[in-house]
Amino acid sequence: MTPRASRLLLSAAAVALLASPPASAESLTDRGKERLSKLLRPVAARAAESTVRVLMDGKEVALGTVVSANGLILTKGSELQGKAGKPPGEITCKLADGTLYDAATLGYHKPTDLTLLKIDATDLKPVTFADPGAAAPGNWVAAPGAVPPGAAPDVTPAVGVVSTRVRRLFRGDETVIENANRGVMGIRLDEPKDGTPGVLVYRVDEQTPAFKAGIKNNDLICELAGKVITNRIALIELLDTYRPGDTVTVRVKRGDEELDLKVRLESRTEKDRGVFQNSMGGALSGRRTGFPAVIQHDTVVRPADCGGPLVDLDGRVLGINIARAGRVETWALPADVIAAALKELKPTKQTVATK
Amino acid sequence: MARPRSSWFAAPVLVLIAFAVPGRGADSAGAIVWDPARTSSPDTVAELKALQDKVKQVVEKRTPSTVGLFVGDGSRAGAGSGVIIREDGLVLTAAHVIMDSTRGSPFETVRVVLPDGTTVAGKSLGVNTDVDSGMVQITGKPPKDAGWPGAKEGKWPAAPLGKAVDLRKGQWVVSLGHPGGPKTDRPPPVRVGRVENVALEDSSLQTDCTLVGGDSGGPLFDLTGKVVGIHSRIGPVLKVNIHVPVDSFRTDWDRLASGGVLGSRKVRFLEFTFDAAAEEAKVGEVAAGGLADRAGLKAGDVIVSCNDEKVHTPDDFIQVIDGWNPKDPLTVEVARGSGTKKLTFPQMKPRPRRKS
Repeated sequence: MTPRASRLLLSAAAVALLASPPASAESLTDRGKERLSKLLRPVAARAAESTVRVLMDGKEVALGTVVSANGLILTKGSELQGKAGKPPGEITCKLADGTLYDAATLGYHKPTDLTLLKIDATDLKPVTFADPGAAAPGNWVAAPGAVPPGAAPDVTPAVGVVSTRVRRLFRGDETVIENANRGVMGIRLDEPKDGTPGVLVYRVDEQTPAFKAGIKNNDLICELAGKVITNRIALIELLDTYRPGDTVTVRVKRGDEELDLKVRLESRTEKDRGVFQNSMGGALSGRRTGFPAVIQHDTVVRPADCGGPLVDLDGRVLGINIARAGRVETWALPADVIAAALKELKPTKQTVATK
Repeated sequence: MARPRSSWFAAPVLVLIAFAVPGRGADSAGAIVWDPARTSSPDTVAELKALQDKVKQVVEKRTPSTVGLFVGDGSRAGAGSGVIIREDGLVLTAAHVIMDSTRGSPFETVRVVLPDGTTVAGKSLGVNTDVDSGMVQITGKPPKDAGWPGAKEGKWPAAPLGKAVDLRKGQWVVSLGHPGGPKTDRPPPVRVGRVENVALEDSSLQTDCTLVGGDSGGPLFDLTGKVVGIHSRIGPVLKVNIHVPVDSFRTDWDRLASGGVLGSRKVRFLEFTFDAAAEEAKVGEVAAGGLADRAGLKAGDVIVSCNDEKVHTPDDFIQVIDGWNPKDPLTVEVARGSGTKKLTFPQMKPRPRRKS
């Protein structure tokens, strides 16, 4: 684990420190990005035909990458989960030509966070993935279907450069945080030693949402949002579906009493400087850790624009964007990792073109 | 100022540029060459490729000089980045990477890690906390079988210095560093961006190369591969990334190299400067409308005491200020003309301080 303080100064007033004319709404570099988008549109055109917009209950939640002519689409699975404890909604896919299809979920591959969708179409244009070695640092890359934050909807693809070659990440010791953006209550959890179902509140930190709601040390959490909680994992998995700002009712056993306490969840960014700095400049994906291997690039891809292909100047598809992982980095899964996931998701003879 | 020795930057590339048609370069083979001084965006895919080629040349040549720095231990441990700029192992970094804020001076020793994994000890030299510049000297010798030229002769891979004053808005630049802290098996990730603003009077350079914690101290290169900035701080939006112009290092070179701890945030924050030619604490300039101005301080005043402590030199004043809490009142006594005056600084809200 890297040392506590990864040092970079924060200057919330950095703009004020500069003895320059006030930054206009559209800086030179913003306009430059629009021009780059325009330049790369023809380069990314073929991959754009293989890019779909994934919607859940009519809301744009991800992009998808077509991997077979007869309707198989890969997307970022964690964006399709139900929120606030509810089951996932109706999933539809909008193709490049605008047609809308209902989508069925065939499976979810947790290590890569890929979900395989199926739509009822027969003449789609699948991508052909390039060799993982094709990604070289400094190479221009484009994400068709992705729009830079704050830009007009027609400013696509988003553009950046490869920052690192494929990095093999997952050595079995990295925690997969399912929803790094989830709301937190601010309590340390433990499980009762005598096997009683529920989660023991080991400690409530001061001024946290739990503290403000009246949860106390040694309370036993037995229900959250009306659902019975038997252990820590169940509690965390349910909490994972909530966001900062949501209010949840927590039922605790305290001695002989049972109390229903309303907890308004908050974000955990203030607690961790690295997390805070990464949030300076745009939202990050909820699931952004624990992938087996990634290509890192500096294209700004919004979380809702993950799941689509990443192409280089030669139009080669380097991978699928899987997470906005930080202020400086978006991660894409390389071809070999995608192929391995597909094998597990669809074991029958479904071919996906890889060079 | 000690002149950095020129490094082994490839001469052939320079020749190429010299033969190029200004603005739209072409090498002898007819392929387009991107002009490093160009401030506009590429107009064609061919120009995009040319820009990409330049970026990759810089990355390949300068990655070996980009280092990770580790300081302190336990709860005071920190990590950041730096760049080797001389073959004997002189490293530029950010002041806040090597400053031990509990003692008000840099950590004595620093662990330097090169992209190929070579780890070597270094010692901190000086810092300027006002501009956020710092220097480290590698104290070991390179492994004889290291991959860079000159290793057998005991040389470290050095990046040459450029000049931020020559940068223009829109010019393309490359950032290397260790976002999130140096990581095993991860060479410094590449970011590409453009110059947004150069404010040498403020010792700051802004680009849209995105930076985050861990990048501090790392190098910003122009497209000729020269160091033009050292990463320092970020703002709340993606396009605000601030670097220390390398020109600031030049200004302070000798004092940094000899271990000086320069700069006083609080004096700057009081918005006046001392007359550098005087030995006593003589006021040089007072920023119009600033705190010192509103307190009634004037150019030429000689500060003789501060919060009832005697002041003979600017350093004395800085020492008193260092121990002062901005929430407490601040009074100074100045000699002006034939008499003395007592001035009180107005109640102030501290400007957001650069936090480590």
